[in-house]
Amino acid sequence: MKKIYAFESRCLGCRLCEVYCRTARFKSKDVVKAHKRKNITSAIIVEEVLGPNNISYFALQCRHCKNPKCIKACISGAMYKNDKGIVRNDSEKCVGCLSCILVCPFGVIKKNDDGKSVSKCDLCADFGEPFCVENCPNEAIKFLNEGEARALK
Amino acid sequence: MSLDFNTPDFEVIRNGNRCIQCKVCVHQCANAVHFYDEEYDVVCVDDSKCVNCHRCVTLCPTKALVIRKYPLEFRENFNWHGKAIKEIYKQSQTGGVLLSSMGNPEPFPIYWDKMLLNASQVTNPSIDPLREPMETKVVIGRKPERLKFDANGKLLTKMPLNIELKVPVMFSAMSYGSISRNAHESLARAAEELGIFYNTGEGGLSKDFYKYGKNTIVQVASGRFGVHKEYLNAGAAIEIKIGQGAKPGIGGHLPGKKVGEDVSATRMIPVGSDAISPAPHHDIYSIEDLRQLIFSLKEATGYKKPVFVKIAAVHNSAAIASGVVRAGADAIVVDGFRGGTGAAPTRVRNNVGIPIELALAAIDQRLREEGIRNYCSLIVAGSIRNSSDVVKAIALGADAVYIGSAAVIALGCHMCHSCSTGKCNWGIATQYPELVKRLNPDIMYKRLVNLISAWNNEIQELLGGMGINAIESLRGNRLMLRGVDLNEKELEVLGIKYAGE
Amino acid sequence: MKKYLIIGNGAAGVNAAVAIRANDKTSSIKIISDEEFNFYGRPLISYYLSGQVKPENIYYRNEEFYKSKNIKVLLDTKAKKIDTVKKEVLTSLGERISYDKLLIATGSSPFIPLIKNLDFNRQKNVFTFLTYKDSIRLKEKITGNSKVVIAGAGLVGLKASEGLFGQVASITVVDLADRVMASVLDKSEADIIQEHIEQKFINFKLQMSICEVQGKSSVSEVTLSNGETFDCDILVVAVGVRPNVVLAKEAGINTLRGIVVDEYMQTSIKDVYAAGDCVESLDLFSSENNRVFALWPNASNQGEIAGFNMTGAKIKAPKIFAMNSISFFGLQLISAGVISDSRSSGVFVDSTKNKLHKLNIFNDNLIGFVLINDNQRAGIYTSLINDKTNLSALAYDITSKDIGFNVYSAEERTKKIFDCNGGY
Repeated sequence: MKKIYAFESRCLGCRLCEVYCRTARFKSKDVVKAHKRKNITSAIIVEEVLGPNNISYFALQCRHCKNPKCIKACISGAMYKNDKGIVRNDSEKCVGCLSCILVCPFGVIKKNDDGKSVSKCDLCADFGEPFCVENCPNEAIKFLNEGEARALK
Repeated sequence: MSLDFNTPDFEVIRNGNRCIQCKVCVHQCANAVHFYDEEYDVVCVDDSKCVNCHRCVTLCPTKALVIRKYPLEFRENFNWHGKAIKEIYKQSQTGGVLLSSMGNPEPFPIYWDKMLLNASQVTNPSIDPLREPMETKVVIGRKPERLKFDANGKLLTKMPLNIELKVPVMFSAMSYGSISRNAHESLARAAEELGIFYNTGEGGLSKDFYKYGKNTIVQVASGRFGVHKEYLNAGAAIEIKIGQGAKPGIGGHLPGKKVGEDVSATRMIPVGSDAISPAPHHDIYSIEDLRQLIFSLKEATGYKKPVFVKIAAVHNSAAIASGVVRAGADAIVVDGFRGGTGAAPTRVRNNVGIPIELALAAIDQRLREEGIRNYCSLIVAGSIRNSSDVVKAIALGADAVYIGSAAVIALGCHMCHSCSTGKCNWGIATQYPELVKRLNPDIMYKRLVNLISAWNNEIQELLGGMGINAIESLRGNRLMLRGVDLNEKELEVLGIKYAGE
Repeated sequence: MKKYLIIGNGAAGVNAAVAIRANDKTSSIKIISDEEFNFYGRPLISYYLSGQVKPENIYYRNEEFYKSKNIKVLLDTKAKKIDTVKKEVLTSLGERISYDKLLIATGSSPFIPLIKNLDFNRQKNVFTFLTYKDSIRLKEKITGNSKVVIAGAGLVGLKASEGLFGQVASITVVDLADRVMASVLDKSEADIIQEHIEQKFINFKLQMSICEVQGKSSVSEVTLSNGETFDCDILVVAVGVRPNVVLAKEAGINTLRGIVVDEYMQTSIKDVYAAGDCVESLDLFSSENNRVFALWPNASNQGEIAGFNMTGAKIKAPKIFAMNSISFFGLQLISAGVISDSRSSGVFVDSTKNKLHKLNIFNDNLIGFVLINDNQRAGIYTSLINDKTNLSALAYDITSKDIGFNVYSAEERTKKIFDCNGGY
């Protein structure tokens, strides 16, 4: 299964991935509209790593675990794994109890502003390649199989 | 001093309808032009720090930014124009020498644009490079006077040391220090893939890069930074740098703050110490001295590496070049007055040296007259901007060209002329790790490969149009050039006829 | 071909069925449930009560799910007796269902305290609040004029109050403890929750209990331990739950407070497993004390492990620690592990208005945390507790700033990213 892998040595911390993640979650895929019209939560998180003399960054999003804790903690059945192995959240069913946030070891599920649901990476499963990967200016995140990613690490 | 006459050079305009406050500009501007005001929860701008490098404009996901010349005008005065006044403000405030980066931007004539190429019509056929073989390979180094063959047609002449370029374009000397490690890696990998050469500059060579050795030219300059036997043997050829087009007659200065662990190791100087290249080589005061250095280097490398000598294009270039050839150089590199630099005194950069087109024509002419043109190759540098500049240079007498500015532009340089600040937002002329990171060699080497491949295609088109199927046949063929908007003296120096003649 | 039988259609039972099917594509899997509804999200009943969750969304998985996995569910069927020798279960319908492997996932039942004159069979306006049916009945009964009294200021009582909010005339919550959610929170955290809920004009009567109710066919008045009496149209009893162990006990299976299981979720009798709220689990923070945890994620995990083990796998169930994520009127509480101050070498509290961030550290380990309205990366804390990570080995002091995945070293991060097994 292809997942998004982040390469810290390439990450600029520009956070464009967050911008494009929010855009991907908006119907028209228009960056301006996605940000002006609606408060959308990004499902990718850029974190800082403070070194002795420098700051580096990495992007992180759902790892689509083999045996996801979030699914078993979900009280509403909103969280599920589809036949491709992608862990998805059905916002219609989600009640925003945040049990998934309580158990996600990567801390990559986020509460939406409405408080009634959560956002998480679904690898842009409904339309082609993940938007964040396509729009990373420095190829710091890539959509790869595990083997390919291991070879590059 | 609280009284500051300086005014911003640029104005950053943010389109509020498009800005989504994503702060990408804030994260990307190393000059802190864009900043986030927590109190008002809004992204703001400080125009005075903007160098117009376009990093923010390029990365802004909504194209909400525009940078314009700052609209503040001085009273119109052809002589005391704004730039002249602002330079005085700066110097009267700091007492310092004005520093600039990249090449001479002043409105001196660009002779490439005053020369036009020929094409075949009726009396001689043009060649379609898509259908017929077309050679753009060149060989750099000394050429034999004549070739001898035995009765069976076997070559008897012992061929001198040569290196071969698949395209007559190489990447100019830019030191590791002046440009980043990632920029170097991009140049090295592109040179390897293209079958051409890149040049270490005078900063030595990291051991990690020895693997690109067969596509590397190692430079020996007045500071002798990073020069040792292993280094000399690591490349395919050695270049002695006497002068640089952007700053003929003066040395170089890499500030200590750019000398980190890695730069320190390759330059063989302590971390944090200034790397000062003297104006002259202290062991070269004559052509004879130069000959000694050339042969010392050949000796050190077992006569297996061609030695280039690089000079800046100055008033007596032709005579100097003659001396350099006689000193035993395998190639002479001439760098014109528009050549780029990481940092040079503004007055020097803008007022010293001569145009490369005129120097090239004069040198080629002189060497031919003296019957020594085949003793060495002639490589020119100093603002070759495109493939037609390459073709014109070769028609004027060059064997190949070096590109520096064009190469860094392919890497993302937006010609903001601020290399000397060390805060290149594109990760080229900087040593800050977080900025260097912005230049991903995996992406950028491909852009260099694309550029040179595109030029190669264009060169073949132009050659084909002239009915020539090998670039070697164009070299020094000045009949393929005609001048426009040139006076008789210029035509004479260039050795070309006026259009219509 | 084996016969798998599961008693209980909750998180443990259904996850067990799914796990069995994952390992065994052909055998028959049957679930018996004494409820009349398909598997639903039990904690959703308060959301159903408030109207936030519509009836069609209360079901955890759709019909297609059971069909595709070929899991047969017998609803409205109570297991009356287990014969572990004949390996069969007698149902309330008189049917005997034989099994090769049995899972007891009977969950828990509401605990009804002794209250004078309280009679669930006679009084029509008294409710427990544990099942979908409870919630449906309650929702039918309430009117805009209802004066509601809730016995119990624990998680269930408070969620019931939230579910009722805006639909009734008044809500009064009574609890014997000095604070809300006494089993989960310390006083300082509980006060934040209580204050927030009080803003919605929900009254609390703490350190009191209901000692008497008036009314024959319906309760009309309640009397508190301090002698105070007030009108009551609806009484909800939500003081806690007790594991359903009778069925197991009668079958000769070892039980204490809950059903006793080994680390593979097998009971004292071979081929009989148990999981979820009805079992005693090993406590991560105590080697001797086995505890009964009524936690959804725990029930899912144990069910899944039991299911796999019933097909022949040998997966050890992990030790358990308490964890809760719950919201009250927009105030979000997430907590896990041990949070009482009494057992820690360092408590770090950062609280501002309606916000609290408390970490409980013992011997270089994070042993518990409480986050109120401050929750984005809570799972990383949970992981630190679960993995018993040495805090001194982390990239920074977790009390010094907001936690992120950057708390791990680069090598550790890479390892975790490539592993990403999830797990229990």
